Amino acid sequence: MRLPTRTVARAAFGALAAAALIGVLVMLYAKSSNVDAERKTQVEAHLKHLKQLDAEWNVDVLKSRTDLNKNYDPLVAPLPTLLDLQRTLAGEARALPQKDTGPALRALADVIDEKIDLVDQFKAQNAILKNSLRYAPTAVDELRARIRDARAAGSVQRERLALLDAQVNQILNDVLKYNLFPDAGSAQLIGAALTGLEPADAAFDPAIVASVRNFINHTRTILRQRTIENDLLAHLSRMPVSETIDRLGAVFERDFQAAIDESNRYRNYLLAYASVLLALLAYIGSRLFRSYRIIGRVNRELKHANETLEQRVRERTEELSHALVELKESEAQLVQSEKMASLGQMVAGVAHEINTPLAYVRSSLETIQSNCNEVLRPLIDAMTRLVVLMRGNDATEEQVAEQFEVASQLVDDFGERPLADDIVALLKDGIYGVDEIGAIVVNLKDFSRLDRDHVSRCPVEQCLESTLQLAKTVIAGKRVRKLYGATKPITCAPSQINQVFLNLVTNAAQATGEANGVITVVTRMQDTDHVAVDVIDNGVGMAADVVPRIFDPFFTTKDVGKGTGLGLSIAYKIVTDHGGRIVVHSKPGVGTKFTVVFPVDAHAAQPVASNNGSAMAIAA
Amino acid sequence: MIHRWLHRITGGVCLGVLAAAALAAELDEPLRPLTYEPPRDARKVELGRRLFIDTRLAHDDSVACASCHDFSRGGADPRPRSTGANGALSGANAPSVFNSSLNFRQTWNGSARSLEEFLDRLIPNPKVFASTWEEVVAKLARDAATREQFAAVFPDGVTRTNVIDALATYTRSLVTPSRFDRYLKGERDAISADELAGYVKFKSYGCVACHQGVNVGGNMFQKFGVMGDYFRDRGTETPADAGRFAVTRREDDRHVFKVPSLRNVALTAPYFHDASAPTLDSAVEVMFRYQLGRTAPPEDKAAIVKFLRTLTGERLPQLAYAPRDAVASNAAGRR
Repeated sequence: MRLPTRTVARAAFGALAAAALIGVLVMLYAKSSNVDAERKTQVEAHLKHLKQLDAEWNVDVLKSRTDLNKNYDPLVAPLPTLLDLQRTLAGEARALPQKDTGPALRALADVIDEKIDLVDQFKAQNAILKNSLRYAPTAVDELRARIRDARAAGSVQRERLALLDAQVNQILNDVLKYNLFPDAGSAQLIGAALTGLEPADAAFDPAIVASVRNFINHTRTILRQRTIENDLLAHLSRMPVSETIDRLGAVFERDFQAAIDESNRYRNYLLAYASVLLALLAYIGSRLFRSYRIIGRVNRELKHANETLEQRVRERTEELSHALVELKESEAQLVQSEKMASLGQMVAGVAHEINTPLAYVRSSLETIQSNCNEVLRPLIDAMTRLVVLMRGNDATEEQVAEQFEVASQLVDDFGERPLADDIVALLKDGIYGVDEIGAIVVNLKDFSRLDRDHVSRCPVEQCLESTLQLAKTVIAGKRVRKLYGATKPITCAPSQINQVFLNLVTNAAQATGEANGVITVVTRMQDTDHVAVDVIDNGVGMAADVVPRIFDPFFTTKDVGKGTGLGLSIAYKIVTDHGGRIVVHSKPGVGTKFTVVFPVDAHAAQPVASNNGSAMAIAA
Repeated sequence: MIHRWLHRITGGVCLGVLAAAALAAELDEPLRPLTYEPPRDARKVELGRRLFIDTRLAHDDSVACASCHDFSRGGADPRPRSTGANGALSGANAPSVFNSSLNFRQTWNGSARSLEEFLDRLIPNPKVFASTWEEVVAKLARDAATREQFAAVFPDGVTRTNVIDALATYTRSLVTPSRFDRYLKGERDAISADELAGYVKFKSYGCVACHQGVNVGGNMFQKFGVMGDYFRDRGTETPADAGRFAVTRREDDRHVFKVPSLRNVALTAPYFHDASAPTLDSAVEVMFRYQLGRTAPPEDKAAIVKFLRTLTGERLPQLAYAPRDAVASNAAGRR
């Protein structure tokens, strides 16, 4: 089934509108739930973890500084987590609708990287410091052992060696103290003291000199590394990791708040939108409900109307069938009247036909009458008197003879004339004339008979003959050529077929002029099942614009009053009712040829009065 | 006077820490014990092991990881410099892959913050594999067997991330607890008296200032030549000598390197980034001179070397076959 384009378009529009409404709903819902509190809590936890880690890291740096950490593993342990947490936070930032965290994240990465770098430097410098710190007492011990050895060996510089011993010891104490409580002044004093040791070099034993140099070297390393480490520690303590984390936290907080605000805003939109949708739904629902009620009412009315309609249809059908019957009736009457009209045209001819035999019947009867008056009546009288005389006992012979003589004379006279033969001949003529009149009457009756349903098998030639006989006066003066073929009898209502033929023959006769008029009647088998009858004239023919209209009712080319205009129309109807067809070929000035084709066995033949088919046509 | 007083304080602290350590039955030392933990995903480790010997990682299919990390030589390269794809020579001696996951950074100059980062850069490194990840992934994915092995471990099959993940997981399984770890865990007889004496000297001479922690190093950077100019003494500088300077571009970081782990140090000759020390003794000698800035009697150094030998893993990881065989068999497999 093909839907109308408008219906399809409306359905498509409806689907699109519904999709759009739902799409907006989904979008609003997504926007209203773009952030969840858990995310925020997690970010806060990560930031807190980061801060915690940093604080512990600071503690571990100080522990390493004070030797409480015996290795640097605690200083590298937080590294993977520091990087992981930053990655996680960056991921969380990307998940947020606002993208303001970038600079704060980069700042944090920078500050952490710098701190990692500082811690790396701290480890390196601290290791050097520790090495020298650990070694300084040993170096002093080694030096003092050498000094002791030299003094024991009786060195000449005993006093200077003792001084060196004291100096070194003092410097060691000072430098260890400086390590714990570093200040620039002490460093300067220790540095000066170390410089003071230098000139002693040349004076001592090379082994002692090497030891002193070694001591100076490591002590200077301690001074240097302590300063570097102090700077590093100061730098480290200035690293604003915690502040940067807080700033990042604030940005996150703001972004989350913005996201939550947006979320809430969209939640409100969603609420409003949902309300509108709900109202729309309610409206649609109420519309539907009303529509449903209207539909119900209409349905009820329809049902009621349907019931009354059936009644009305029944009534109307009855009326129509009545009308149809009347129509059929009037149609039949119309056909009949046309027939009568045709007959009317022929009445003159028919009267003439009857007149002729009637005339000689009358003359014969008059002759017989005169014969009877002149001859038979005297004879019968004489014979009667003779017989009466002969029977009577009182009559004379003479009287008998005289009467006999009269009678004999009369019989002789009668015998001289062939009166009896004349009478028989005259009666015979009269009977012939009467028979002829009878034949004409039968033809008329046949033609006009009212038992229209009478269907029989009948050769078309017989019908043609009957028609030509009747139409004698109409065709008087025309030459009629009959070319009858070997046709099969057809099933038909002969009176109707006769009417058709009469119409055609009459038309042909009227179409031809007085002189040289030729009417040709042809019967033939068109094929094994159809009989064709051609009625051909050499008359005036018809114009091309007339031909298509000749079967229309009330169409006529004749003068007013000369034709009803129904003849061919009725002929057409009769032929089609017989399951046949009628065609016409005409050429002005040459002639006209009507061909009527009848099925031999017209199962479908529906004579005019059988009105089933027509009734069906009206009902349909 | 003050330092005695200090000693008392530190002594007290030490006593306290010792007491705590005694409870844990673990010695409180600058060195921390290493414990082997079986990998959680054995299949991923196995996949990583296959990749470790897979020459398809190299552009010209010439080398695998195992080509330079010789498992019979403590997971390091016995050659001074390693030969990568296309015969390229590396700038420095390849350090051991064993326990490398315990290092706080990868490579001599610490340019990689994690194993993953390090592995990611190895493939395109022209001196190592000289390939591209697209090429490597395509080569691996072309092989149905490899595809299957990956699919068994990773839902998304052969990818750059998964190759790295498998290799990193395998590398993390390559840890080598030693006799010394047993000692640190409280098993006093695990090392001999000589070795213990070596350890004491290792600490007292200051080696332990840098080589400490669980990996005996590997957790900090230090300048090579603290107490003397090593590079001036050695002569001609190479690009690799720049050390961490190559990463930070900070002059202070010139000649600064990641302190290498001393685990399996007895197996990983030659030593230092420039492979300048062919023996452990010579390496210790250099360290004393340039890092500690002091001299020591030979017997002390010998004792320290003795101690260092206790750091060799008791059960070293084994590859299913030697790297050269692996290369050959790989080539054969492809043919």
